[in-house]
Amino acid sequence: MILKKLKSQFGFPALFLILISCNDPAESPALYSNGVFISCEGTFNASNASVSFYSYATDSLYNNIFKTANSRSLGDVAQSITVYENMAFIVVNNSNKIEVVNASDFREIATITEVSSPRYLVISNDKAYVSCWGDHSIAIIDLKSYEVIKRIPAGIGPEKMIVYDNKLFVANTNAYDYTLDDSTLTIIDMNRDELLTNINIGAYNPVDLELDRLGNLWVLCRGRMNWDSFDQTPSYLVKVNPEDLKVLASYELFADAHPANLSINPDRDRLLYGIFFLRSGIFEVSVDDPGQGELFLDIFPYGFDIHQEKGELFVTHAAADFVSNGTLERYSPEGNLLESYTSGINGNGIAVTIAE
Amino acid sequence: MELNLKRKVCSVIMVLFSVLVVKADITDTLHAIPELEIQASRLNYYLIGASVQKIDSITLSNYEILSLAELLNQKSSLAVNSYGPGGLAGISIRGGAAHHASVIWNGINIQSPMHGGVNFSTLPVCFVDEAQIQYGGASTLFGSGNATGSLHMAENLVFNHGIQGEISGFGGSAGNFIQSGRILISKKSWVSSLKFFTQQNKNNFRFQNTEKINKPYERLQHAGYKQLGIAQANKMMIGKHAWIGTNVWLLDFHKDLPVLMSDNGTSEVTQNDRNIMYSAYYRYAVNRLQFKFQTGGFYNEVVYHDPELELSNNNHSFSLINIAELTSTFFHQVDIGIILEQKHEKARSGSYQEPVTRNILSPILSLRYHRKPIVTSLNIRKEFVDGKFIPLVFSAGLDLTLIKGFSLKSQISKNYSLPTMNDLYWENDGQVTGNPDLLPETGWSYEGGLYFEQDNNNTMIHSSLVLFHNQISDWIRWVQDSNKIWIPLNLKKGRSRGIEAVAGIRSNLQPFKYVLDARYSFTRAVSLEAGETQMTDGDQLLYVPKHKVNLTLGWGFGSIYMEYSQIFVSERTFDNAQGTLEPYTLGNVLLKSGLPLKSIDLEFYFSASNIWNTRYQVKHAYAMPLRQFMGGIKILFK
Repeated sequence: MILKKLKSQFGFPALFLILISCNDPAESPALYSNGVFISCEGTFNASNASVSFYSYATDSLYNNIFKTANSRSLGDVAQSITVYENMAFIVVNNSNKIEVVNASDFREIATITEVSSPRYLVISNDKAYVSCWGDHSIAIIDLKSYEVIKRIPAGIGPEKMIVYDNKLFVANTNAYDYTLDDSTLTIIDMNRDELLTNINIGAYNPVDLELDRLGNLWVLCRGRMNWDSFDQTPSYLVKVNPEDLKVLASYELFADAHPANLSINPDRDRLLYGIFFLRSGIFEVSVDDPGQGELFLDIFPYGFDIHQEKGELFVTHAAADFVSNGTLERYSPEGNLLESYTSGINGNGIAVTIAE
Repeated sequence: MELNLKRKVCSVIMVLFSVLVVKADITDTLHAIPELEIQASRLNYYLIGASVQKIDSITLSNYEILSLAELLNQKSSLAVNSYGPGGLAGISIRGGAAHHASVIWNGINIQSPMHGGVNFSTLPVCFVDEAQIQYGGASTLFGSGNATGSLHMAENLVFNHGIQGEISGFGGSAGNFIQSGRILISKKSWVSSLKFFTQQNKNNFRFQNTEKINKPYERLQHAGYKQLGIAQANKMMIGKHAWIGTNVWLLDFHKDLPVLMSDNGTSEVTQNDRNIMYSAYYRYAVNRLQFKFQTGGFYNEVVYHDPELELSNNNHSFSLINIAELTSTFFHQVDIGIILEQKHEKARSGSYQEPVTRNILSPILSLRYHRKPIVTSLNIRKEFVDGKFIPLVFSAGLDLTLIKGFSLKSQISKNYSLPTMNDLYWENDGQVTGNPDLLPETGWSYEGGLYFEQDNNNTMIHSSLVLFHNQISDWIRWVQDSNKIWIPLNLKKGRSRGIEAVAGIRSNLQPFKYVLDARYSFTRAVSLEAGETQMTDGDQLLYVPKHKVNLTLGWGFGSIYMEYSQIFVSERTFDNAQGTLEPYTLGNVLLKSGLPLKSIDLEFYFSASNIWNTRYQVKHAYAMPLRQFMGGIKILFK
């Protein structure tokens, strides 16, 4: 349309200039490398989840790359994305599936079914471990057959996971039901794929975990948020020794605010937490001098993560109406905004990957 | 084996219809039922200059086994947005939202006060004797919500037609079975009709799942529906100049809701829609004076149940409407209508703190002037909502006969749409809240068109070309506020402009009949001043196709009638990220024949829908069927 208008007003020379100088940002690169994937939830029950790709090479964000590569919708609520070797695993929560694609061109490889309301995925020893809200379990998937080979019961609403010394630590938050609480971590022996133990860490609703440079496990606990009774308990940052599974310390964050996301910098000495329901801000905590921490960025993000090589902070924002395209922001390690891009709807999961 | 069976079935059908060609008589339902009384008198009398499409009684009879959603999609320019067969279906007229289109049943508005919509999948065509689509705003005559158009449906009882009865049974693809019947007792001074309709549709049709890896063929699971409906109507003369009448519809609709095409697993979610509509009226008419009093009500119950999430929503709404109309003619050329409407709305839901009510009082003044070659009208409405004034709205129309058969029609109207009960009263649960400070949506509607109509004894030709422009301000849209709580706000301005072109011929040259009906609509519906949303100004509104084409070709011989219809729906945007659904075209075939016997008549029916096996989606990621068949028989008792 624009080309037609230009042609009608300025003739062919203008059209020619446009054609030779135009670099259409919507056109995806042939191969996805040296960049960051962002899973975008889409709108609940609308099957319009998507994946965006930020390319360092072109400093551009390419949206909807799954549909572009495969001519079909990704599904309903893309919760997270994990990259392993040359594959990307997109966990599609409300579609009860995991789409496996070639991470270079995003062409489909397989669809993993038999997972009920999956949330996050980690990979070790050619097996994927998927936290599932539907049956409160960890589903173990063989990456040769893409089939579920075992399910291990977890706590209420297993959420994010982390691997330490062939042990899988699972944060059990309270899933859909905020009238239920859990304050445990489930620990799975990954050699035998069996439940090792559940430990109570003394704070409600563990939701995210990180390992610091000294090998301590940091667990972000949202606290209780019962919207029926308006009953709340404080959110905590809990330090756990992953060897003997003892709680080393607990730090109260907020009495009435409940963060859901924890990230660590490449040096593994500085934690960022945020994503509140009714509060803005990303907060910064030193692992050496913990406490409530300090406000790092006064923004209202929907998701964030730190690039583990460059230290840059990738932040996603949902649109005001939650049904329109969102925004991706890239910050320097010091918290300076570098660039902003239009992303898919409700960007959430961030897979920092493939620095080639 | 399967091929042989298909051949046998086809052969039987061919032989059956060949025999009927020889035996058939040339009468009955292939003729339109004469229009004796138009119930929607306001529409036809005072709404001058507006584009109105009548769906004739032949079409209603031919497609009696469909829902109104399916019929409107095939035979009108409306955008019918359906979540699959039997799924929730709403309409968009000229680019407006579902709540911008009034639905008038026997003079009573049956839009839900809770959300402003009507589920057209629950309304069976066989209960409807008259259906008219009015394009363009007409809030003055039909009240809140009629910002882009309205659908009018009514039963038409005719005196002195004796006693008639009919019973039918149909069966078809995907486990679809329909039974219906009617008893009509039509005497000189009173008439009574009783209809019933039941449907059991497993709806487990086969489709290609284009949203899954390798695009496999699958059968739709957990999508069946059951329906039971009863319609009862009476009319009785009281003296020479007056009559009274009643209408009641009882509808019960149970639907299993399937998962999205992209999803794995099955659903256990169900939805029950129960509707009760009733109307009672008194009419008095002498030479220059007509008076009508009508009282009616509409009860709607929707129960949504998700066993997996242990979630159950039970929503009830009720509208009580009283209407008094007085029309008088002066100097043979001026008609004055004074109308007073009173409406009481009540809704109850787990999402409201307590049952909520709203009272609306609307005086309407209508003037109509007619002197060849001009007919013109002016309508004014003032509405009081719970004691508060809604700004005055009006409409004015002109119908100018240019030369014989050709006329120029034009209409302008100011319209409004009240916030729904959900918009106003949703209780703050920490995630969603209503907004009692919402303003009504307001808008303007303009249209003008050139019409041609010629009707001789055997052939009727009609065509029209209409340009329209609608604008709606303070469009209510649900957004999240700074505390991330969903709240409805007056945010957006919307505008739709377009063209509608119609051409049709209906010829009855015994024993042959020919029907051609072609409709094209171009609708450019965009958001302006999109407010806090990131939808770009100028983007086409969601699920509004720019182009829609309906083509019907019919051919009859004796009592045999065949019809081929084709629709084309262009690309539609399904989300604010500009995701689009591919355009689609569907072909449908209908074959119908009558066989008169001594004491009964038989009617045979066969239809094939989506005969070209088109893969398509109406709502994103909701499966739609490939080719399907339906056959049945109707017995008419003389």
